[in-house]
Amino acid sequence: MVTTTRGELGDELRYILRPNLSLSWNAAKICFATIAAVTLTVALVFATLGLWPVLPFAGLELAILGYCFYRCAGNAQHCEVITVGRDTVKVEKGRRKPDRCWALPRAWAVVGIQRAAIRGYPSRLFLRSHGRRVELGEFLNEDERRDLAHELSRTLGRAPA
Amino acid sequence: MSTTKTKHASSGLVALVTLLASHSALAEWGLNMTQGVTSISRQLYGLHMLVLWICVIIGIGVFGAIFYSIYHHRKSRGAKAAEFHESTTVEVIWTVVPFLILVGVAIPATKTLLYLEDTRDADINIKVTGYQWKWKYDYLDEDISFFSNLAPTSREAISADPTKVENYLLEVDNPIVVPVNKKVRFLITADDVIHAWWIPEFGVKQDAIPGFINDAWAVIEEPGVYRGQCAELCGKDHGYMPIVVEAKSETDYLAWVAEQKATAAADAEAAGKTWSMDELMAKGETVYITSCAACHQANGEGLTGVFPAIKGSPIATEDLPAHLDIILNGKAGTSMQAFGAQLTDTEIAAVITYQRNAWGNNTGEMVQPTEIKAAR
Amino acid sequence: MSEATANGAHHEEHARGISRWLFTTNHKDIGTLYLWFSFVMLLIGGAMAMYIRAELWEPGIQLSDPNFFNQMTTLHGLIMVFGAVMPAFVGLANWQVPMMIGAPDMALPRMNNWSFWILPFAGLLLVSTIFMEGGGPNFGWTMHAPLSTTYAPPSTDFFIFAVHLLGLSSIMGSINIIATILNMRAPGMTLMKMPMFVWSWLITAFLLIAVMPVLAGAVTMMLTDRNFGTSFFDAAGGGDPLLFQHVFWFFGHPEVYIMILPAFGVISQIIPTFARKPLFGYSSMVYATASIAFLSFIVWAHHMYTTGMPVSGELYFMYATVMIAVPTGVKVFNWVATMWKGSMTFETPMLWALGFLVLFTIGGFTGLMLGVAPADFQYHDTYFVVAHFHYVLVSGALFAIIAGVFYWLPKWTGNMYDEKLAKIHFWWAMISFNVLFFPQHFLGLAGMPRRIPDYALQFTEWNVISSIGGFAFGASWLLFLYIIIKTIRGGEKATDEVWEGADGLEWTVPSPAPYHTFNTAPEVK
Repeated sequence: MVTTTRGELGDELRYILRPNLSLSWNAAKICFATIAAVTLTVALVFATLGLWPVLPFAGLELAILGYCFYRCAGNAQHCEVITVGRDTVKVEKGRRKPDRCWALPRAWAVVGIQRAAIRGYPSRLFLRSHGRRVELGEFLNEDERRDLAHELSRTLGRAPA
Repeated sequence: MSTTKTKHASSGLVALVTLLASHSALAEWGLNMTQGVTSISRQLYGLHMLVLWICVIIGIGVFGAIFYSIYHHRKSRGAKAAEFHESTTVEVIWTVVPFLILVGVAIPATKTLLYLEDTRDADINIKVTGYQWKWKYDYLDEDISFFSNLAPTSREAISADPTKVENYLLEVDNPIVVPVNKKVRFLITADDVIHAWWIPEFGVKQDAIPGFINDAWAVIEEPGVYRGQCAELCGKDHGYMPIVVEAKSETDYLAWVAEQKATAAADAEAAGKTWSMDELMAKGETVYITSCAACHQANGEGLTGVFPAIKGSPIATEDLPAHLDIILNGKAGTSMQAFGAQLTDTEIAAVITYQRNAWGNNTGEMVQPTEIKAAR
Repeated sequence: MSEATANGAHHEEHARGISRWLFTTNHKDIGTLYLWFSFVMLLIGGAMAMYIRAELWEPGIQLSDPNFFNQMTTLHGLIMVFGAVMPAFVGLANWQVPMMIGAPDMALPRMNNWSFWILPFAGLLLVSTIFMEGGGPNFGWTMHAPLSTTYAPPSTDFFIFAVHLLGLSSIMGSINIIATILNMRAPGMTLMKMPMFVWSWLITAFLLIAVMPVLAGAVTMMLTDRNFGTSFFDAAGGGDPLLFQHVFWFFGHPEVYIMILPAFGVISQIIPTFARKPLFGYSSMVYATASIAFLSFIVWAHHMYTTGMPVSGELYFMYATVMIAVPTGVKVFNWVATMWKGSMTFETPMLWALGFLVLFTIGGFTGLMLGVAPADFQYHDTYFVVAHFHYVLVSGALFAIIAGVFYWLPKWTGNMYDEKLAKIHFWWAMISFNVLFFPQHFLGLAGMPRRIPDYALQFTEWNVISSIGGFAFGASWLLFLYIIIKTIRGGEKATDEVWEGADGLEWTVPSPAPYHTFNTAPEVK
């Protein structure tokens, strides 16, 4: 998902890129608890009948499931913020807070899409300036990425290279 | 039939015609469940037909609607698609009506189930034990007990020509005999793996499970011979452990009981005498075919990796005590059963002698029933 | 776009050739792999079925020995269930679920790769048991103890390992599908707007997660009973062979719904398209699917009516079992109502869907008959049961898979398949299927037990007819293979929408679908 906001002074344009997430963390916890309740009930009933080997497999499976839910929620916290200012284009990537930052001179900034060598594989979107390169929106969809490229190019005042 | 084998390689159709023609005398084209000869089997048949007709009627409705719709609501006839996509009334109707039909089925089904599970007040109790791959019958009220194997006529025809054998795969060496019009209760269990004792005409099918005793009952109304098969996969010869029940009148049954007891006494006496080589070999071959050949094969060569060969094996050519031991006590952890409990002294003596002198195992050794008695 | 030429050399290239397929994390690549794997398994399992039908061509033993016959029935069942049907549905889910909910890919792409690549090894291990000393597993796919423990061949330990691997693959696949459906829906795609195929897979994945540990536990206990002196299922050591059946069927009954619910989903996509009319009773379809899934947990012992359960148990399981007819009936009625007053055309996917509808209903009827406990005393473990479950699993699950393949193939390849050949294949398979399996109802009622390599003479005629149908049905899959390869290699170009009446997000993207599909996540109206 790409959302666009204007900066406070109106001279900055900010793009916020996030993966789409349709399940809130709370809902994920409820889902996990429900599945765990069913699976563990079954396993415990079998355990009381003397068939305890079902239990470790149930536990292992729930561990994988829980980890996967956690990973999904974690992945969705990834965020890229592109701030197009008067002189510089700032790119920040990270989870809750920006972990990595780039500041590129706006005058030299060029947006480019690199097509995949194999038909249908995902393309890659780069912002280049002064020999430096930052990849943007790896988690976006093909058309989403292309639209972002066009948006950015228009903002930077030239057609995409 | 042996001729069809070559034909079906060249043309399935020709083979079909030949096969069906050659079977016209035997052709039964069986379509439906037997009504059987007990009150249970008739109730099961009635229930089967009830549910079948319900399904047929619903089927006519559903398939009728499908084919009407396919014919009339097709684009090529200019049908325009309607817009509707839900109707609570209709959906409630087709939830509730099937439910009521099911209640209508469940009532007679419950009655029948309670009836067939009521094994109280039996006149005769017979314990049925499944073995790989034969049945053992113990008459609990009489002192009669015997094994029932696939008849040698059938076994010999398996890789030859089954069409020549009457009741192929449905014939045994020792059928069980029961009187008509008496409540016979079968107590069913197994010694090794799970089997299932099934006689369609009695409406009786019960799993024979090691460590459990299940029961079933039948009051047979007509004298006759009734045949069934094992109905639960029990290993290699699952298809070769038939069940044959002879239902006889009360007097014939009592005569049979007396005869069984007389034979048992004669057998006990025969065990005391000294047998000649020829007698032992002749009897041994019969015992071998019924009790050993299923695994070790008629030629004594076994099946590589599964059942060891007897032909040329050290146990059957050299080590006599080991030979005795494995036949009497079996071999733990394998399919080799303890035949000590299954065969008489005479039979074991004969089969050991046979194994030590057949297929080139020319030891010339003889084992007498008295030696088996001593070894037990 | 000149970037690619200017800087291409500096960037990592996407893998090509074999390593593309080995390391792919792309849902479409993995979907393709799943579908091809399941087709190969279908042919292997099918070859075993051909052996079975050839042996049953006439009474007596002609081809091999009864032990080999038992290995064939066992492996045929296992391969078709775990190798053909389940992976095929996972393949369809991999292709379609992300497209249908507007997601760029599966939620956990790398795990997706693992869950596929476990399968070929598991499949190979399973098939290789035939060549081991003592032969492969010969105790039926239901693997009832103690035949599968004390009395089983040495290769059983490898079989158990293969089942563990297959289970692990299913678990990871279904976790991925759950995570994708819950996490990756496009904005506006609420649960009650999801296509029925997505719904049915969500419910199926829950079922899989609930029962797979039970299967894993069951085969592990087989392993310890065989090798480590435990007696979970050994009566001689104080164990309980019946408990194995309870455990197995607690897994096994939901398992059959795992194979049929996604089929319901596929059919619910196809019928509205070709009737040009929305699915009738969408929400009742969702509730019916959920109630079938729930009921599947509480009816397992209807496979065990003849094991000597207490009467009260038999009564309870009978009542619960016949109840399944209600939600299943609702589904069938809803499909018929969807067709009613539609504007139908009969392209190949619709033909398969209609074949499914008619034949699955017959399988449902025999299912109701089998559910009636006392009558089951006559049906149990006969060819009537064999006919029943092939009507629900072949003309049910498999027909739905084929319907789905023809329905989505133009979207996957960009080419239309050869409609004429595909129709010939449908009628060929449809007719031969019925010649193959319908007579087995008669055989079962007339008293032929299942899993026997040889039979009494009165069963000859119907067995011959069944075998003829079997060979014809088996051969039809070679034509299917030809049609698919022909479509992949070329053909009339498919439009984006492909089918006139198609509705849903997957039809809005170009055909063939580019690897990463959506623009700004599409709005769902």
